[in-house]
Amino acid sequence: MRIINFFYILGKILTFPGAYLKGYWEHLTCRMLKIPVESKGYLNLNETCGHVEQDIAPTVWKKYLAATASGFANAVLGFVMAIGGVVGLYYLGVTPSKSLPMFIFYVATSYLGVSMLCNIAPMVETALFLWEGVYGKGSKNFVAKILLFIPTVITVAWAYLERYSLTVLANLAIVLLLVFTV
Amino acid sequence: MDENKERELENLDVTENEENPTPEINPETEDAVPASEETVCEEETATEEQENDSEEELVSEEQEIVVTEDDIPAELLCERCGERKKLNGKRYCRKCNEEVLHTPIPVTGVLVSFVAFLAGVAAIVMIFLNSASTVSLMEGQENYAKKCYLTAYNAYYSAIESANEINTSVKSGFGLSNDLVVLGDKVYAQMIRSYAKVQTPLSAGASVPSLFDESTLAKKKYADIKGYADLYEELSLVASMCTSIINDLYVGEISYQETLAELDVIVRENGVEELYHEYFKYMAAVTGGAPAEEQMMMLQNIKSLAPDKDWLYMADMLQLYYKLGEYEKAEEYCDALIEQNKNEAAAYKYKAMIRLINDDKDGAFAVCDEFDEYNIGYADSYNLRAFVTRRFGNFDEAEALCKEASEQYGSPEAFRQLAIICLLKGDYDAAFDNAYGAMNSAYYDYSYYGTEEAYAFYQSYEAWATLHLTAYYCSEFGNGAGEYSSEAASMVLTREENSEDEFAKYWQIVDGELTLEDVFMKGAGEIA
Repeated sequence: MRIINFFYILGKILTFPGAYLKGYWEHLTCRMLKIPVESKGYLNLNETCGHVEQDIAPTVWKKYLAATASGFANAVLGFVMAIGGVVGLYYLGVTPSKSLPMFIFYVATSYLGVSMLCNIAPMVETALFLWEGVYGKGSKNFVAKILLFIPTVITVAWAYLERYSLTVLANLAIVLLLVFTV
Repeated sequence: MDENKERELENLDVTENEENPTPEINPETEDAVPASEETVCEEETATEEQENDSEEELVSEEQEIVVTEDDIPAELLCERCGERKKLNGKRYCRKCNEEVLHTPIPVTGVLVSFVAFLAGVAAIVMIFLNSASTVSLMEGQENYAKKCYLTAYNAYYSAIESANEINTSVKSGFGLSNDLVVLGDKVYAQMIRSYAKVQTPLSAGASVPSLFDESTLAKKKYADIKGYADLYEELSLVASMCTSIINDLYVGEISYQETLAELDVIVRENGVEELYHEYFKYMAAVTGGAPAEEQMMMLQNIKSLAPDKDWLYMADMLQLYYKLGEYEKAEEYCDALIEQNKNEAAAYKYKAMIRLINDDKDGAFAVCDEFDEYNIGYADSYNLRAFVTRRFGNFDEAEALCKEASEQYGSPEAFRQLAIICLLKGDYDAAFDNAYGAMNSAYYDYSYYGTEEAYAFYQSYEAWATLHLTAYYCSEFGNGAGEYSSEAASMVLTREENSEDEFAKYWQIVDGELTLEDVFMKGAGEIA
């Protein structure tokens, strides 16, 4: 467990822009949904790094939004920045000798984009609360059960992937592959 | 009487009792509690009950009751402060609940999100500006991997052109001094590699110094590009001297033997490798009209000296094997050239001609299908199919294909094929118009756009032979109704100026030894 925590925190440190923004978006989402938040910063060196401690949302739809809206913001911004950076570095092959400002721009957007893509999922705890809210014993919202099945499964799975830093490893592998095929 | 007394008691002055109410006795104390005080107590109890039932109800601070832990069970205490009773259904007391619902958002968070948003917008702008070049580069990469080197080269060239156009627009529109769309050395390197496959490494080497600096060429991944540049540097001076002598041979200033002697001198004085000496001798042999067997021997020599430098001999050996009637070997070279470069149109054409010679109609069309598979969007796709279709007498279908190619691509070869079809149909004026139009189109493309294909067409034997042949038929048998019919007479060959060896088949047609059908439908002549 300590090793998992170590790699988790290491992954968050490596992707600190994305982690910080994830915490910010979560805080903002909870504020909009009127969910209580105990915020002691967004980059705590524990399992809440990149997240905010939030209360359980009262309804299933609020639970879903609380779990996924912040990740959606990171995903959209991260995807756009990652694509912009990768195109410049991989397809156009921009190097410092060709244009230093553009090279720095592409490296920065690639890093920001990848760091945001590594911070999309909620905490495992939040994801499990979502699952419990949708499919738990007290849940009778059949519309939610049907509509939210795939998104909930993906959210829970992705939360575990991030918990074990597998998304960071995957993105790192992709970046290295692109770098060495340039 | 009793009834009257009861009635009197009932009619007792109640008013007097209301003004001076009889004090009740408080069971806890013996002191009487005025009714007004009792009403206040009742009101206070009701207020406390309202507080507990509704978390939304505003309660004045004077009425809030703070109690100690001793008074409220632990499970009802606020989880945050542990002092106050928590709200119904909540974990916190009212005060703490307000605080956690409005936890302050740090200013840095707002700033970071704003910066991230700006970065996202900038990324979108760059994606948009880079999109045209990126699409072309992806097409180039895909075609390079499929060995469609001409398509790949065109795609890389298009990517560079797109980048230049966008940079020019952005710079003039926004007053920037630096390029926004920047293409790295790898793009230019891929373009040069494609060009080396389409033409020759020597031709590619000519462009290298203008695109790469010494430090870039020193990198290991660009070693092949450096090789092209070194080859060009080694041979360019000698090549220009040899080309000058071969040009003298072409215009008839010196003889073939004198040319070979001059070449020997140049090569000896400049220490040129024997391989390239043989190559320049071969170029002289082609220009001087040396017999095919002699040319073949020279190519065999070149091949033995440098079998890996197949760009020096393969395409020429294919043509010679075909000319010498060794169709099996010619087809082997066709397959080898196609395997190296799927855009090698000449190889496909020779393969189709060999199939036609063997009367293999399905095989000839199969070659057309194979060409179409790798050469989408090329005029040669139409031209090759029109050529095969015409050979089987389907003039209308062939004509439609040629017209489509000429309208879509302005292809000189399409005009030439149209000229041949018109000849076969007996429309000699239109035949000459199309042949003349083909040469004009090629000249224009080469002069204004530097199109190498156009230059190759303009220099080709087939193009000139078709022009002279249609000129002969137009001037002899035409009605003079064509747009360029008046030019036909000046294009007819004379025996004095043109050796019979050079245009042998032309003279055989003019002299009646061969018919147009023999040449253009049975492949008896060199004009395909």
